[in-house]
Amino acid sequence: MIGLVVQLRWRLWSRLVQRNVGLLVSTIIGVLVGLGLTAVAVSALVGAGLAAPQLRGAAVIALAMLTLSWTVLSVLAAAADSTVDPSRFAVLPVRPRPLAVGLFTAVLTGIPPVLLSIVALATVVTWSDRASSAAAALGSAVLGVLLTVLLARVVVGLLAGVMSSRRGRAVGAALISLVALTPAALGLALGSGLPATTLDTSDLDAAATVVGRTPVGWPWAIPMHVQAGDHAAAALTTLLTVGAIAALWALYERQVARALTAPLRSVGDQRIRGRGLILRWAPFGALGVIAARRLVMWRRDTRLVTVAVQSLVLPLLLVTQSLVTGEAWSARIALIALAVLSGLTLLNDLAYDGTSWALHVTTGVRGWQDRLGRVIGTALLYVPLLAILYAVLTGLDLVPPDARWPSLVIVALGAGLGTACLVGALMPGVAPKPGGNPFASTTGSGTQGLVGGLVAFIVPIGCLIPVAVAGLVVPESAPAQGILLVGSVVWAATLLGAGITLGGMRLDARAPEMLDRLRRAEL
Amino acid sequence: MPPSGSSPALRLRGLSKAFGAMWAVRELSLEVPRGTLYGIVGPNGAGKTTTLSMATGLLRPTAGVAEVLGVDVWADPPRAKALMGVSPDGLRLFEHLTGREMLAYVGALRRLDPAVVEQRLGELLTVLDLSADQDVVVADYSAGMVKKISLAAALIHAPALLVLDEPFEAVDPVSGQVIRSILRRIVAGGGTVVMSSHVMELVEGLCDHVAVVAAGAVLAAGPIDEVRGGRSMHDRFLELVGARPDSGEGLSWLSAARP
Repeated sequence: MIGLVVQLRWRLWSRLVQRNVGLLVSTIIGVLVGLGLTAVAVSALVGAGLAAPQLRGAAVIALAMLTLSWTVLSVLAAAADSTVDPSRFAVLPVRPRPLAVGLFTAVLTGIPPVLLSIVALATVVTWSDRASSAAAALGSAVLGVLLTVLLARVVVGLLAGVMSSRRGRAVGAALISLVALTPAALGLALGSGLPATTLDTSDLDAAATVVGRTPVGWPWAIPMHVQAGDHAAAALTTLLTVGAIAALWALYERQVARALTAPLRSVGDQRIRGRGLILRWAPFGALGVIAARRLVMWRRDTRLVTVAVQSLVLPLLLVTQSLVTGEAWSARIALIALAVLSGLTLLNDLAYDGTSWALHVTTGVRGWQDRLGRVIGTALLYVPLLAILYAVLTGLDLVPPDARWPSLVIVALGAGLGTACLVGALMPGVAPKPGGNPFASTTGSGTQGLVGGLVAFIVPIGCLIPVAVAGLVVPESAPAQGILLVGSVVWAATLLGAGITLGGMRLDARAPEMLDRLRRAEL
Repeated sequence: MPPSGSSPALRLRGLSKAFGAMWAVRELSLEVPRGTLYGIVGPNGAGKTTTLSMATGLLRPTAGVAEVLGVDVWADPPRAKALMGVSPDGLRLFEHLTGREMLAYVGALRRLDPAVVEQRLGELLTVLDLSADQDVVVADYSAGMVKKISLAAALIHAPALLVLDEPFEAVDPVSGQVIRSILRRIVAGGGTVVMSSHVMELVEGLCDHVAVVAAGAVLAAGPIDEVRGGRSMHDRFLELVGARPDSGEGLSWLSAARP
C-alpha cells in the first residue's frame, strides 16, 4: 500500500508537470530557493555545534518557529501536498489505516519535507559535544519532522472541514487573513522598537527553555535537556512529543476515514431573503445587473471576501504605522495604496467568473458593458471607503487638506481600475476554485498572476507621476489647486475610459478564446 | 424578431475545428429548417458539443461558416446571438445568484422590458417547478435543477432558435415531460429547436429531424423517418456508427461461478 501510494503520488505529479510548464518553472525556482535556505540553515546549525555552543538555544527557537510556520504557510498558501486525494479511494476496499500510512509517507517524500529532514538531521552536529545529546538529537529530528508535517496536515484538514460550508468559509477567510497579518504586525512591533531587542546568551537559553515548553518546541528541546543533564525533563518532553504525534495521527486517520466514507461535498441551502440588488437594478439593463452582481459578490463569494480583506491589509498596516510612530508619510501612501489596490481587485475577475462567464458571451453582452459594469460595482464599494479614509486622515492632520492628495487618489483609482480592465481582458488571471479554500490558487498559474499583478501595479504608479509633479510645481492658490483637481479628474477619466474601451474591444474580438482559457483553467 | 426570408434556422457549412493536430469536427455541413425540432445524436466524443459551441459563438471555428436565420454568427456575433437562446453543457452558471436573480440577470443582459422579464420568469419558474427554490443560490441546486434554470435562461427572450446541449441530462421524468411539451410548443409556434443527445429513444420520441454525427462528421441527416428507414433509431444509429457486437469472447470470468 505504501509503495503504491508513493508511486501514484509521483506519477500524478510528473503528469501534472508535463502538462504545465509554469508549474515546472515555479517548482524549479522553489527547489533552488529551498536548497539555498536549507544550506544556510544547515551551516548555521553545524556552525553553532562546532564553534558557538552558546548559540545552540537559538536552534531550538528557530526550529520551533519552523514547525509553527510550516502549518501557517500550509494554510496560507494551501501548499499542503494534495497530489493524492484520499476521497478518490472511496470506491476501493481499503482500510483507513494503511491508506493513511501510505498517504503520509507519500507526503514525506515531497520536496519540502525532505529539505526539512535535512535541516533537522543537522541538529545532530549541533548537539554533538556529547554522544548522548547527539543520539537524542537524532531521535528529536525524527519526532520533529513527524510532528511538523503531521500538524500542518491535520490543521489543513480541519480547516477544510470548517470551510466546506459557505458560512464556515467566510469565518475561515477572516481568520486566515488575521493570521496573515501577524508577521506584518510583529515586524511593525519590532521596527517601532516596542520590545527591547538586546540579546545576550543567557536570554537565549532562557527563551529556548520557554519555547521548549510549547508543543511546537517539544521535539527540538529534547537534545537540549539531555545536553544539560536534565534527564527528567528530556524524558517528559519526549513523552509529550510522542503523545502529541499519536493524537495528531489519530486525527489524521479519522480525516482519511471520513474522506473514504463521505467523499461528496455537502450541499447547503443558501436562501437569499428579500429583493436583492440584482432584481432591483434589473431595470437599468446590462450595466445595472453587472454592477449589482459585482456588489453582491463582495458578500456572497467568500473568495472575493478574501480579495477585499487582502486589499485592506497593506493600507491598514501603513495607517497603523503612522498612528504608532506619528510620521505622516505611511498614512499618505496608505491612501494611494488603497486606491490602486481597489482597482487591482478587478484584475482576476474573469478567472473568478470562470466558465459561467459564457452567459455574457451567449447573450451578446458588449465588452465595454462587461468592463464598465464591473468598474461601477467596484467603485461603489471603494469610493466611500476612500472618502472615509481621506476624511479620517485629514482629520488627524496626517494628510494636508489641499487639492493634491484628492487629485492623486482620483488618478490612482482611475488608473488602477483602467489597468485592471485592460489587463483582465488580456489575461483571465488566477482564482481559487469556487467552493474551495479561498486562499488556494490554481496550480501552476502563479507566473501569469505575477505578471498581470506586476503590470497592474506599475502602470497606475507611472500614471501618478505627472500628477505628483504637477502637485509639486502648482502654487498654493485656490484657482491653481482647482485646476490641478479638474485636470486630475480629466486624466483619471481618460485612463479609465481607455481601459474600459480597449479591454472591451479585446473581449468583443476574443471572447471565445478567453472562454477557452477559462475552460482549461477549470480542468 | 427573426429576419424574414427563407434562410434556414441554422446552416453550418464546412465547419471545422482542430485542436492541435486533432480534428474534433471536420467539414461538417448541416441545415436545420425553420420550425423543426432537430436532434443531433452521436457517440461520446463525436463532436456534438464542439459543433454546437461553434454554432452559438462560444468556440471559434478553424474553418467554415455558421448562419442563424441568415445571420453569420462569426461576422456579426451580437446580432446572431440576439436570435438564439443557448443552454450549453459543461459550463458553469453564476452559482452565487439565486434562480430568480439568474433569470432577471439574463433578461437585463438581453435588454428585455423589466415588466416582461418579471412576468416571464414567474411563469418559467412555476412551469419548471423551481418556484420553491427560486431564492436559493444556484450553487445549492441539484444537477437537474441547474439544467432547468439554464433552459429557462435560454427561453426568457422567446428566441427564434433554441440551441440545447444535452437538455435532458440529470432531469427527472416529470420535469423531462414538462420540457418536452415546452419544446413542442415552441416548434408549434414556428420556432426552431436544436438539441444534442445520446439517448436514441428520447430523440425518436421528440424530434422530427435528426442528424447522426460521429468522429466530427455527419453520417446521416434529415427527417427522422427518412434517416430511420423503417427501423428503430437505435438500430439505425448502431448501424451508422458501426457497432461492435459483443462477440462473447473474453470476459469469460465475469460469468464464472462466484463464492
